[in-house]
Amino acid sequence: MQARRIALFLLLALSVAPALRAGIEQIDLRVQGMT
Amino acid sequence: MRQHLGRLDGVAKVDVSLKDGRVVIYPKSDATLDPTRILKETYDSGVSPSEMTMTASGRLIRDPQKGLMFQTAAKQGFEVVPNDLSSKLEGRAGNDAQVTLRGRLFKKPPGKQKPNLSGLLRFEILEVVKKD
Repeated sequence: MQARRIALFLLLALSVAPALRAGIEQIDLRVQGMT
Repeated sequence: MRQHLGRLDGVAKVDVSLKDGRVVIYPKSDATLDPTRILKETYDSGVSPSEMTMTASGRLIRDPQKGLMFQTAAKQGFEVVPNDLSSKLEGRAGNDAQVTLRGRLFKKPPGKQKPNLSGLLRFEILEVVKKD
């Protein structure tokens, strides 16, 4: 029973983690003088 | 320039389009990019940035001194420039809901003088990409 609860918790945590990941996804620069 | 920026901490990939004058920088997973550093390195590589925008996920918080802040990491936050979009998001400040925003961090001022890059960059929201 305990093992099943832990497995369920881990499954839930892993499925939610990517959606909650904060941070910069990309930075866009417009530049002049690039050759 | 690709090599110059690619050497920075946290940078996973740099895409350069010579035709469009556009450079896109992607972070490594679990890394925190430093936009001020990227701007300085861009100048140091010999090109002049005219605009820098950022897409990021984070939370909106209210700072007693700075007002609305966009917090993208535990130690990284940007003061939000007030505009129509920021006022629509005011109500979300302080709750735990995550939001993905695209906004401008830098726009070259008119004239040929190199802008002062020592100050903190402010974030002007251009688009709400995703809300919880």
